[in-house]
Amino acid sequence: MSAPPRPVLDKPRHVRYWQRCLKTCLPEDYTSTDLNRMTLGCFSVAALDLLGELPFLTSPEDRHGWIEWVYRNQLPTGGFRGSPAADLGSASRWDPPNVSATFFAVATLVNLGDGLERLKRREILQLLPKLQREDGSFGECLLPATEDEPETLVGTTDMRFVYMAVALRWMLRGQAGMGCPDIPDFDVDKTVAYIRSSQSYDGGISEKPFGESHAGMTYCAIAALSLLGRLDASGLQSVDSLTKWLVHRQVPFEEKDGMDEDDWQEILETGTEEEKEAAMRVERGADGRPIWGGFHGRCNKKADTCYSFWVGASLEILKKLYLIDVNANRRFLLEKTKHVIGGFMKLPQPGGFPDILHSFLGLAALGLMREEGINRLDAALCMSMQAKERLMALDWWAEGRSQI
Amino acid sequence: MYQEDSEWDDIIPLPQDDGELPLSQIAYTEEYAEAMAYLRAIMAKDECSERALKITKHITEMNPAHYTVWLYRAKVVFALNADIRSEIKFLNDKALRHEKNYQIWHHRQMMMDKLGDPTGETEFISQMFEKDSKNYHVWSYRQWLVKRFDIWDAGELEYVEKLLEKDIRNNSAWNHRFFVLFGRGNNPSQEIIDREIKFTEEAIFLAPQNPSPWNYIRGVLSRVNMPLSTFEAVCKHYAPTGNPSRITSSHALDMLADIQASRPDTREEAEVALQLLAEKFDPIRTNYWNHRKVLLQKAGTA
Ligand SMILES: [Zn+2]
Repeated sequence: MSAPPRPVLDKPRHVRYWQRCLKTCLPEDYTSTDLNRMTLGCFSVAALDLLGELPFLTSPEDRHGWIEWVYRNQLPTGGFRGSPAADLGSASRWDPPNVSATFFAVATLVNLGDGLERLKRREILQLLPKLQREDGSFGECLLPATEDEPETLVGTTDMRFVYMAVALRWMLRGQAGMGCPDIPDFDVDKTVAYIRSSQSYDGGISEKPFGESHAGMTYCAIAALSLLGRLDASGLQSVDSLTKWLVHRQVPFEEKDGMDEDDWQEILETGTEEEKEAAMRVERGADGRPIWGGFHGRCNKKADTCYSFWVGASLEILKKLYLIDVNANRRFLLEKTKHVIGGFMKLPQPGGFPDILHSFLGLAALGLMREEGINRLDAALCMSMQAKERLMALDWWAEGRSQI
Repeated sequence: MYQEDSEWDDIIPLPQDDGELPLSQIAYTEEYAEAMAYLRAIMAKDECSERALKITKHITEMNPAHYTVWLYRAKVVFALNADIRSEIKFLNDKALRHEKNYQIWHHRQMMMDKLGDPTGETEFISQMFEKDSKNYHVWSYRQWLVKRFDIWDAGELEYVEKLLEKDIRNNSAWNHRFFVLFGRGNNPSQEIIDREIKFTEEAIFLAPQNPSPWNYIRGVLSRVNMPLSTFEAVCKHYAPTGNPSRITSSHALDMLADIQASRPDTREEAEVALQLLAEKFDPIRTNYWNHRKVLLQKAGTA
């Protein structure tokens, strides 16, 4: 068939979606993200920044108020908690600094134009080596010592924490890790070796050695290596197999992908051969290429909005984004997972709702692919180029430059 | 409900203070807001008590992703010397209802580590896999379990086979197979490698366009330093480039291109395979296959 007309990004609707996220209470369904409100806040602010509307649709008072809120969650000993829900009124073992919250807090402050004067930067840099494990990976939280318990590193082994720790080091130490030379750094070589050993037999990267390749983990690993300046043989066993694994995450849209799960199950169980075939049909343009093609995060899984970013950003960092079918991805997002009230859904299925994570990552993915109306973003930091430049204009970055 | 409960009489709840202009505020239910206020109060005291177990259970029901509440609960369980078996039972029910949550699995790992006896674990994992046989957290936990209790040979491979029988495209199961084979550090015998080659061939026969076995066999061969050409005949079977209408697998074409590219006298054939991929058999990746062709041509002229 000939492809339908080129879709456009309905910018006003996305803007309205984000205004709602920032100005009204999120529905009760978000309760399970209560402890990660810093992440949600960061995405909401960063989305309006990507849409270029932050300075126009929010007032200086709003931005100031949000900056205050972020700082309210800074711990006296350095680092941030993920939400006021964890604030126990006074120092406690159960109100520890959290590496993700700390990363998203700093990113939010930068997005909001804060100069980071009140950020306990030295304390965060001191915290990072304590979060590192023997194998080079990072934990999630550092529980402070009490009378009868020592300081304790906790959390799963997860590439996400590696990324957050590395990104904090990059943002707060400055150019080439030169700032604060008196504060001991974490062991960069060990972290690089950890990432290298997590590259799987199929070329993708997992959360740890021998885990299944996963595009989210792969992004965290690639972005970390890039921020460490180690996108070379020391950090990756094979760039070729990684590239190949990444481009293979793009999958043609089949009719069934747009169906309700139960309807498809029913066709599978009781449908005729023709019905099954029709459900698995791929619509193609005159050039034979699929019209819609999003990304999945693991081999043989379904396409999901967020992976357009995790895979796209990984390829952008490797300077290989041109290898994907940009049009098919663009159509997948703008025609299949965008929602009428603005934002993006996770899956292209009927009856779905947009959520903050997928709505932000959908926009960020389009931004990577130079969508008109979205500001350019830095793939490794996941923030706009303008925000990154503001960060790099801060004192310790300027000092770092003069030292080199 | 805590307010009226005499068991909580001595506790002054600690309400949440969000300041003047919060980001991403959530419309909590009254039940959650109240329970959280009491939880904060006893966490601040670092109280280890039966009621701490009760309230953490209540909170994790409403918010299973509360990271510190699980850590706190673990401490209380250990401090009270509570029955870990019943804690595991509680976690079973929790995990089945909150499939996407990873804190539950982290907590389970801490409990199991303390208990030191994995009896019943693989059975429960099977129950989880019945709901979603690709659950990332559960697979991750299973790997930990196998290593922690050294149960590599207690039916892991058989279990993987059972899952693959149900769904030959379950990539998580393929990955676990690789883990079982190579995760112990030393390479398996040639006999086992031959068995894996045969197993992979049979899987490909069932679904030639399934990428998992193709990736798997590449991994196995590379791990034991066997050339990809070991699999050349299989590739040619599914990708007879001389008769494109009979090609049934883009992955066979891709592997064939790699094999042919590694020999100067078959380099042109590799180009043909890449061309077929770009134009007919994998057009969503046209740019990628063309890129591979350019690399190949560059290598040829170098
Ligand atoms: Zn997603």
